[in-house]
Amino acid sequence: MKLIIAYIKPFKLEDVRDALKAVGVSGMSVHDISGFGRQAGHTEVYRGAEYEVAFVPKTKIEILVPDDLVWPAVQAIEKAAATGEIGDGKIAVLPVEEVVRIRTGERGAEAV
Amino acid sequence: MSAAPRLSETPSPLRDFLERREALREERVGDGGEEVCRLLTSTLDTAVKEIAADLDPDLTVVAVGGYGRGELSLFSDIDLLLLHDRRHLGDAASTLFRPLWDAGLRVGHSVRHIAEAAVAARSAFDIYTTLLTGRFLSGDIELFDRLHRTVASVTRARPLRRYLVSEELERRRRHPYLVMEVDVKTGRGGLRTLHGFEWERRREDMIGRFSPPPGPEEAEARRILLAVRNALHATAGRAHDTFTHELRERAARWLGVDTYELASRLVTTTQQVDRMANLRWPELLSEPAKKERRKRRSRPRRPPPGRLTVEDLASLLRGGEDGRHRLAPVLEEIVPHWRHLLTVPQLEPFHDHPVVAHLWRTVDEMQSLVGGDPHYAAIADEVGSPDLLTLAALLHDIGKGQGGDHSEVGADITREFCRRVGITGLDAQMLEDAVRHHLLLARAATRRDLDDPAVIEDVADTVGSLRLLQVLYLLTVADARATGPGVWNRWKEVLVRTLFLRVASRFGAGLPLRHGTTREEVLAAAGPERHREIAEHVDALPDEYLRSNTVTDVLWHASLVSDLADDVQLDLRRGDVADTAVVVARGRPDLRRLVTQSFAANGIDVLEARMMTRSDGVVVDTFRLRPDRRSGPVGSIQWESVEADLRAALGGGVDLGQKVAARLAAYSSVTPPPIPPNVEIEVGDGGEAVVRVQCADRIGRLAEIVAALEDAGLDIRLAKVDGRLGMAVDTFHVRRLPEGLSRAVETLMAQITSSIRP
Repeated sequence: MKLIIAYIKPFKLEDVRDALKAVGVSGMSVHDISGFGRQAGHTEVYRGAEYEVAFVPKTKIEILVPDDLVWPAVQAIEKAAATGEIGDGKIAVLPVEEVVRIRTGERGAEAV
Repeated sequence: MSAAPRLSETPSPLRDFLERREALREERVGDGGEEVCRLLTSTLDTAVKEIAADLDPDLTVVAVGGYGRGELSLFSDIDLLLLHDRRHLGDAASTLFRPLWDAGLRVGHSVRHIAEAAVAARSAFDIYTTLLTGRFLSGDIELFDRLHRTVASVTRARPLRRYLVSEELERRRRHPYLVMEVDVKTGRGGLRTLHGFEWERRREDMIGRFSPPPGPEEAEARRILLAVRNALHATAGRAHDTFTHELRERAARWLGVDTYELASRLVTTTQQVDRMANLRWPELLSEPAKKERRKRRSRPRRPPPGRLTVEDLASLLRGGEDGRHRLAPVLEEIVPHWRHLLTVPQLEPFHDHPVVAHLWRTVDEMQSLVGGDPHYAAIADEVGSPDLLTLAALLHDIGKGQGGDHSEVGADITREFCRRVGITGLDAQMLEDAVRHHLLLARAATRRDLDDPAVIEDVADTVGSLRLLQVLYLLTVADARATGPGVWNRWKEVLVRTLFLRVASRFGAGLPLRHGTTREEVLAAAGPERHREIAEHVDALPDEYLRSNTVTDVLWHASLVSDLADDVQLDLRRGDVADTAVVVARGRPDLRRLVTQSFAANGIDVLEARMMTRSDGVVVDTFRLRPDRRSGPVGSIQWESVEADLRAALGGGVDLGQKVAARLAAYSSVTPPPIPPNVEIEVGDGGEAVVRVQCADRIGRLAEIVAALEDAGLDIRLAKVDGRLGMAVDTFHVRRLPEGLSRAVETLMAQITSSIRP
């Protein structure tokens, strides 16, 4: 089992969700976040006043997947989230010790 | 926490009650409301009387609170008073209450001497109202009658109404707008307000005045609220009185109705309760009404709908509870389906309010934007019509509950609304478009790529004007703030604001809003010694010059002109936002190409430019320079290099075109977006023409466009240049030079277009 964390552009969320569904991932957590990486902030000007966005809005998704779905899921995210432009985001894959489904008490892959 | 007792261990008198409660929980009786309460109350009465049979006969057991009113819901607290007139009680309290506690029931218990009861009723309103609806269960009826007389004597002295109004105001303070997740017991529009009506009737009875029984509307509201309360208790398995998103569906199933239908009934009921309270206790509205009347002074209290002005309408909308209460019948006449709209719930978990409450709140949020945050207030000021913004807030979701796309339906309703209230022309079109596109910015900001110039263009095309964009921006913010606590946050604010600013720049909103100056103001500021110099300078420039510059700017430019000994004067002023450079020079055909090339060759990006030419051929060009993100504002060495390059180029000593090309090559990895250049030329009278150029922006682009215009034989008289987001959107007012007169417009367009590499 792995925990996949992906930081993507907000407008790519629906594409990523559809792509993950297509490879058999049925659930995810979604968080609205802000940050910066190579894609620094940007500055806009309105009526001479400058509006600086130092932290760019991003969407963070987290999914728990069994081992056989890890790479299909990663590839699905990678493909669906890509625009080819700076700021497309990152995907991290983390090992998971144990998963418990609270309602049923199931453990391990059964609980994913 | 101790475990719940097993039914078999429960004393027999209460076992029936618990079994009946469980059976009712499994399957409702009747409509799930009053009949369930009646059954529970009568079963518990039997149990309590059996338990109380072990008490001495001089002790009296009184059902109080909800139990006293016969409104016992499935998991309600059981409020009991053990009343006595003794010095010592012995273990009577334990005898009465212990079996109830042991059965796991939540008991609101009190033990009072008859004299204490009178003191308590006088000292605390909540005890007084509890005793008002006390019901005799067992024991000494004489003692109960004494209690009744005590409460009656307190009643004559207590200003009950003031207390009830203050309680209602507190509910409204906690919930200024009706909510979807309503607490049907103590929340706004819930049972507690109806209890107030009941207490007032009891009070009237006690002091011997006639009080009419509850009307059908009140009875119906009570019936529905009790049914929902029981459904919530049944599905939650505990005393849960809030119509939460999680429980709605199960509660509806328990009542045997569709979730939407149940929510609709509840929304309608809470609004009716609210309205009944307004009618019964007009003082609920009195404070805001006074303030609003002071504002309106001589205006009629409620203008007849036929003669309702937009100002009246907006004023009532902004008049809080009082304004809305008085506006309701007017809206029913203007908006044919307003009554239906009052019944429309919003079931999505992010919606805090039913539709109409959301509209009221959006109006208020719009008000706070107009007079609050300077960013939004400035934009509202530009829109210039607070009434229009107020109406847009009222109408944006007016199409809900009608089926189909509520934005489109709402736009149609808005058109009719405008016709009925006499809004015509651009304002009517603006309102209709605002309703039609009210979700555009929120959706585009979160679902589309804001770094894609085509997206910005698409939104700009849909919106069509800066003013509508501004209205939509404010409406988007007000709408989101009025929807629910999680809907508007910093994350979304940044996205929506970015979209707005980028689309606004397409409409040329980047430059500061200048109110400009006048010839008289400038001359007054110049003083007698510079009067002639300044007058000559101003008179030599187009009218646009004074409209787009401040007094300080004009005096600054004039000084540079008077110091123009050689070919060129350059000056740089630091600004809070961006640096401003002014170039004053004697005109020559390639001047602006060289100026813009000198900026590009030294890595200075021009954010905006205004180019103007005096009648004597001297150019006065102003450039707002984009600070470098890494190194900050334009450095003095960088600026000296610009100046040196320009002077050298004017003298023919350096080829700036080569320097720009070299810099461009160094940044070759930065590919501009593939947007084909678009050139439009509009020929006016007297040899004047307007050239609009739109293309992908990159290093040296402005120089390239300026060179193309100069090569086409055009003299730039005035220019507005905007280069952000990878797009250059530039407008040049040009005058044809003699050698350009013979060229056809098409030839010029082709020539300029081919000069601009995609």
